[in-house]
This record gives sequence, structure tokens and C-alpha cells, in this order.
Amino acid sequence: MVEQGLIRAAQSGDRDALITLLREIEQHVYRTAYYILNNEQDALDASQEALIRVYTKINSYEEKAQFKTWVQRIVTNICIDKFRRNKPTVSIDEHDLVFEDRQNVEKEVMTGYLAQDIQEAINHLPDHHRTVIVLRYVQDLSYNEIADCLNLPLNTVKSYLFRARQQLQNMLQEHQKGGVSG
Amino acid sequence: MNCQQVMEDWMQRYLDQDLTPDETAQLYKHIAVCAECAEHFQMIKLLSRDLEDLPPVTMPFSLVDSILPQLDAIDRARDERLAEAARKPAEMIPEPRRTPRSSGWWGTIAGRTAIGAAAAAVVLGAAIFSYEPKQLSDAEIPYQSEQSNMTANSSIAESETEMQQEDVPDANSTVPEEQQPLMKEEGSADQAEGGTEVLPDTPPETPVESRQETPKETRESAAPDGQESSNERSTTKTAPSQDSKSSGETEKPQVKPDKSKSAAQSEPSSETNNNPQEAPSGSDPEAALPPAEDSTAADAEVGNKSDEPPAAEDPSMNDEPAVEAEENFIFGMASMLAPLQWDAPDGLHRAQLEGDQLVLYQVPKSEDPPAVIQSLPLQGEWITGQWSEDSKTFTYWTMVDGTEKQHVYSLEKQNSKEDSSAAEVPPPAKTPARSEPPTKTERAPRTP
Repeated sequence: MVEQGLIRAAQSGDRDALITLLREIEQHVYRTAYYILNNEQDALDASQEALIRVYTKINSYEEKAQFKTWVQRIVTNICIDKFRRNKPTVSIDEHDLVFEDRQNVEKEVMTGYLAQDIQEAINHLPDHHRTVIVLRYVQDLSYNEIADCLNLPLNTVKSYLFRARQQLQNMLQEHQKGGVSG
Repeated sequence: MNCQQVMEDWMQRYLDQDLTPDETAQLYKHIAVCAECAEHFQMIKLLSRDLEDLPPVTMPFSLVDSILPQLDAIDRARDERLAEAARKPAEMIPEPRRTPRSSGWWGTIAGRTAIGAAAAAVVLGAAIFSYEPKQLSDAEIPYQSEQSNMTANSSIAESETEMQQEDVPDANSTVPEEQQPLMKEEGSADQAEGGTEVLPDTPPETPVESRQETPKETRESAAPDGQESSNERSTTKTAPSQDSKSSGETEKPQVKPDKSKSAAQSEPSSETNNNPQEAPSGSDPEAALPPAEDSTAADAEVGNKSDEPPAAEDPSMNDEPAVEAEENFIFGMASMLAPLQWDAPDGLHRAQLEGDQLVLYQVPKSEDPPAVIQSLPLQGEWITGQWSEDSKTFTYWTMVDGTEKQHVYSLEKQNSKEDSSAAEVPPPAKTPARSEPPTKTERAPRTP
């Protein structure tokens, strides 16, 4: 998604190339930050910090890794640090507040979950599970890319991903059941 | 439940496109028979699809634009660090610098030394080359002086004898009124001056002056008495010659012969005796050009005496233009010879130095004594004076507080004017005249 020449130019000191590079990746950076943090302002802060870090650390990037993987690692690390600092716990009340419109929820069961519900469910995943889900679905990374990005073993990535899906499904099913029952 | 647990992993892998075709086939076979697994598979596929369909959130603004200021700050900080880093290594690594230096031989110490030596050689060569002419010029003077000495020595004997004659003629030539004695003085003064000219500052002059003074006085007294012969009149031509002080040298010899005939034989002989003795004493030690000239003049005089040269020589010599040319050329020496009295070119006026005063006379055409027109007090030490060609103004210079001051006396206005602006006299009179002339001034005043 990013030309190798542009990366090299940026690494050689071409500031314009580096800025262009940042513009190409800022959307991906922001989406990852947004889904991991589930908060626009936090996502902006984290994204800016990630971009600045890319800007300053561009020369530390090595081509043996994919650039997108390298960037996502930076973003996820920043988000995990930020998440740990800002969100020690998740309140159940907030979770309940998300599902207000019961009627719509019932209809969604047939076609799928509301995006908002899914986001809410994702937000309740453990950090690494959520991160794996985001990388898998938001950034469309493979097991190996996720493993590289998070510096985790491939099996661990699979485990996190599978478990995250089960958790999400459980949460959504419970919500759906609760919604039906309620 | 068992099958579901078994198939769970396959279903997950199926979602991630991690199943082989065979595994996928087996999964579908199982789902076809197992309702629970089929429901679960449907649910998880739905979840995965929903996850894939998560809305592509977009930023409310460009993050890059928002962080550009920060990036600029980072750049500046980086540049500073790089600059510092660049400085330090530059200082620490002398080798790269030295190599380029070595490439240029002119950069090396030896090269610089060679360049400096070459420059010094050029300067020195220029100095030597330009200095040679000076040596030559210097050599000329001693050569002339030697000649003069030679002639002077040889002529001294003659001059001594002749001096008597010479002195007389000079006095006669200048002005009929003052007559022989004065003329004699001039002649002696000329010799003395001539000696002084070459070595202006030399002490010997003063003694000459003092000696001369006394004789002059005597002459003065004698002057009125000895309004002598008409011969002098014939030599009146000398008046113009005296006016041009500078030309005095050449003229004097001419004048001398005339007088020598008349005056030398007459009274002055006694007086002249004094003069000749004095003059040689002053001139000999100096051994300068003037004595030579005098001697030559004396020789000429001798010849003149026998032949009657004065008439022929005087007119030619008296011509003003020629005199002027000579003035310019010999001015330095001439200024030294400046007479104590200056006759106007028209012969009707005379300026004479008398002590601290410059006395202007009107010279009657008859032999009557000159009438005093005006007596001007001198400011500072006398340097020199000169009549204008039209004989209407007399310009003279004095040394006041170490600077030359020019004074102009106009016969028409009967007023002395001082040109403050002309503080510095024209070049010719400057150097030689300054120091010595004052001494002359002393002489002049006493003579009358």
C-alpha cells in the first residue's frame, strides 16, 4: 500500500517524501487507534503520537518487515500503553447503555449485529484480543503479520484471535438474548 | 458439543482462509449433518462479516497537518544536534583536512615560505633597481664638487689676487650709488654664498658673514665717496642681473670683470684685500660648487680684464628671459647667492636689507644717492626676495615660526601686503634658502 521508493526517499532525508508517507498511513493509524481505544479524542492523540514517532523513527525501519506492520506495531503499542493508563476497568453500566433500542436489535439479529454493538463488544475484549481483532479485521492482516506486529508467536496470535471471536460472539449472543428476553 | 469443539478451530481458520481445500470440504460435510455446528458456523461467519464491515472511521481533520508544527520543531532540534555532531567530528578529525592541504603545495609551510621569499625578493629587487639612480645622482654631486675643488684650488691663488678685482666689479655693477665698496662686498658675499650653496647648513658660512659685515660697513662709508668712474655706468647693466638673484652666479662673473677694471685698480684695493682673504677662508673648507664657479668667474674675469669682456657679455647675460630660465634651473643655488640688495629690472628701484628692515630705494638716474621710499620692518628671518618683471612689486619671503611667509611690496600702492595664504613659497626657494638666508639677512642690514 506504500511504495518502497517513497519510504526510501523519506529515509534518505527527503522531508516531503516523509510527509507524503505520513499522509498515506494516517488513515490506517487512526482506524487502528480508534477501534482499540474506542474513543475519538484518544484515537486522535494516539494517532498523532504514532505519526510523530514514525516521522522521527523512519530511519529505524528495516525493509525485512512490512512497512504497514511496522507502523501498526507503533500504533498498537501506543494504544495499549494509553489504554492501560486510561481504562483500568470497564463498567457494565456503560455496556448496558449501549443497547437501548431493543426493537432494532431484534431486527439486526437476522442480518447481523449493529456496528455500534460490535464496537462495544470489541471494547470489552482484553487488550491483546482486541488488538488482534482490530489488526485482523480493520487492517486485514494475516496471522503472520499480526504476529510480527505484536511480536507474538503465530499460535498465540491464533489463540488470541479465536478466543476474541468467541468472546465477541458470546457477548453479542448474550446481548441478543437479553434483548429478546428484555 | 464435542464436534463443535473440534470444528471450532476449523471454523476459525476457515474465517481466516487458513483451511486447506480438503479441510474446508470436511468442514462443510460436518456442517451438513450437524445442526448445532451449522448454527454456530453461521453465527461466527456473521460475526466475522460484521467485523469486516466495521465502518471505516475517518479523522475529523488531517493528523499530519496538525502535527506539522511539531515536526518542524523536531527538525530544528535534529538540525541542531546534527550541527553539533558535525562540529565535534570536524574538530576531532584533523586528517581529512590535512590531506586536501597537502594537495596544494602553496598551502604547506614550505610553500608559504617560498611565496614569502619570492615576494621579498620582488620587493628587494624593486628597491635595488629604483635605488640605483639615486646613487648615480649622488655620485654626480661629489664629482662636480671635486671639479669645483680642483678648479677652486687651482684658481684660489688667482682668485685671491683676482678677488680684489672681482669684488670691486660686483659692487660697481649693482648700483652706481653704492659704488665699489658695496660691489666688493657683493663679490665676496657671492663667493661665500656660493660656498654655502653646496653645503648650505655648514657652519663655515657664519664666520664668512661676520667677516664680510665689517668690510661692508667700511664700504658704505666709502660708497658715497667713490661714486667712481663712468665705467660703472657702463656696467649698469648689472642691475638687472642682480635683480635676478638666481642668475646671480652667471651674471656676477660678468659683472665682476667690469668692476675689476675700474674698481680693482681704484680705492677698494685696500678693502678688497680684506674681502679676498675672508672669502677664500669661507669657501675653501666648504669646497663646494660656488667656489668653482667663482673661480671660473674669476678666470673669466681675468680674461675679461684683458679683453674688455664686460660689455659684450653683460648685455647677453642681462636678458631677463634667459635669466628666468636660469633662475628656475639654478634657483636653489641662486637663492643661496641672493644679494643683500635687489635692483628692480627697470633700474629705478632697489630693495636692500638693512638690519631688521627692508629698505626700498628709488634710484635716480643720475649719480645722486638713492632716496629711501619706504622702510619695512622684517617679520621673522629673511629668506629671499625678488622683483617682479615690471619692477612694480617686490616679493620677499621670511621665515616666521618655522613657516615661510610671503610678503609683497607694491611700489604703486606704496603698501606692503602680506599674503597669508601664500604662507608657503614656491618650491625652488624652499629647501636651500630657509636655513641660510637668515644669516645673509644679517649681513645685508649691516652693510649699508
